[in-house]
Amino acid sequence: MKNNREFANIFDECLERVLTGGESVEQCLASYPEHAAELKPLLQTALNAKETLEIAPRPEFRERARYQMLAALRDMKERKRRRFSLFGWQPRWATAAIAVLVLLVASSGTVAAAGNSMPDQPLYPVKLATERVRLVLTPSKLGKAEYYAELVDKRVNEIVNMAEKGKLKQMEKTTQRMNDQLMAVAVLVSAEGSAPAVLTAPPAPAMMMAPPPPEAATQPPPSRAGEPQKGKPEITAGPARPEPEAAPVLTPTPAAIPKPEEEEAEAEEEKMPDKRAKLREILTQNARKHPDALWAAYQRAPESMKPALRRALEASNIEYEKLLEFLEEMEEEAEKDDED
Amino acid sequence: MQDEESLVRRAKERDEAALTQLYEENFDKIYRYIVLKIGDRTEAEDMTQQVFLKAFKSISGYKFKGSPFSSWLFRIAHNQVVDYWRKKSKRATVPLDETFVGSSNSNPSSETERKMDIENLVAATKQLTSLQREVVSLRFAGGLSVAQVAGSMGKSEGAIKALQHSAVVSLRKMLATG
Repeated sequence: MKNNREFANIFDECLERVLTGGESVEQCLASYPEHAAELKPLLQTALNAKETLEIAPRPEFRERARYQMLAALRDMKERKRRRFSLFGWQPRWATAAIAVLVLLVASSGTVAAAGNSMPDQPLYPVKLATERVRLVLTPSKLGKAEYYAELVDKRVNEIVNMAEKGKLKQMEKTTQRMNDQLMAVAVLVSAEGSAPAVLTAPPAPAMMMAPPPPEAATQPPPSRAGEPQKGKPEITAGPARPEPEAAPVLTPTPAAIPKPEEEEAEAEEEKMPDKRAKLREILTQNARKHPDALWAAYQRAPESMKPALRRALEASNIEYEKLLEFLEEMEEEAEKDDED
Repeated sequence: MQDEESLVRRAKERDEAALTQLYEENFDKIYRYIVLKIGDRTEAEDMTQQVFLKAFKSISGYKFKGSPFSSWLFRIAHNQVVDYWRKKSKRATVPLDETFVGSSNSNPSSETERKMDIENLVAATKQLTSLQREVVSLRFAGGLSVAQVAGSMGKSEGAIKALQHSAVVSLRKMLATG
């Protein structure tokens, strides 16, 4: 027993000297010649294991995950701030009055006309501003997620329109907006299980998904969300048809993870199952509709427009796939809770 | 450690620079730890993201007790992994790499040194005891020192060194016969 313990100490000392002290295996073996024969293969195995594990997540995923995390935290902060701000203490009628006022303004000619404007038209900034106002006035995170999903639908129409007109710059900007808004849906949906999120503005353009490698410009676009290869857009000749499949998605481990204090707000949302079902329905429809629309545009588009369209397809595939999986998992959990 | 303490204090106040630094310093370690535990790199990305989201949402409740911040993250990651396998087993799926079986007539001494790949390593660690697996994951994937692993697992350094030794002996045998 004692010998074993001694050898375990020697083995660890050598490992430490090689891993952090910059020594070679041979140098360490020279310190313990009587154990060299036994130490050498074990050190080799340990170092091989360490080397094998020198892996890293995809850089674009790392960036995106960081952005989503910080965005979710900002939302929590904002929500807290609002809860204790003057606005937070305003009576309900005041919020309703503001909403009515905005609706009145929204019904005015300019805003109404801007509603159908396209990114290359002068009224388009009015359209975007109106969308931001409506987001601010949407109280629940699921409501916001639903509205973001609606905005993604508009962005897809705009991308197709810009592709048809050959307006690359506007199409790329709109693709970025679509990515941001899809990410916002993801952040809101993923935050739903733990803390309410309030996104009042789309994410910053600097945190967009990384563009594909140069050769991607010549590749055909990816298939639709829901394909078996989770998280990795598959390269096919056109959009595939299968329904999105269920895949294991994580949910919090309540016993082990400290509960965020913001969870108390969860109780406020009594109509969650209905809202979730509705959101899922919208996202399921969009997950089918959008790749089809973008693919059709891709086929008609000139070569110069194709890389940007391909990025739009990739982004929508990845985000929809994750969103649908997450929602499905949440529904399963809810069903399980009902059974319990 | 003093630096990390002040970093964590700032992070608890939702200082974005501090949160970002903690994220940058620990993301890859947590990712490797999860990859070694589940063997699916894409799934591990999502799970790593969830670990950080949960950790940072509840960071206000974190109490600095001298052990590195990463120990707390590894604990969350561990729970995440346990949850993953619980759900996976409910779905009655069998991981592909669970079928890993080495041939018994290979020559261990000549084959141990060959470069292993991640799938083999994941499969081999599944044959270890849960304590050995945890030590290997924290030490080789998470990059923790023996003292940190001991603190994280609530065991003595001597016990961790013994587990590390027995784990590597077993890994060597399994990988040699793979």
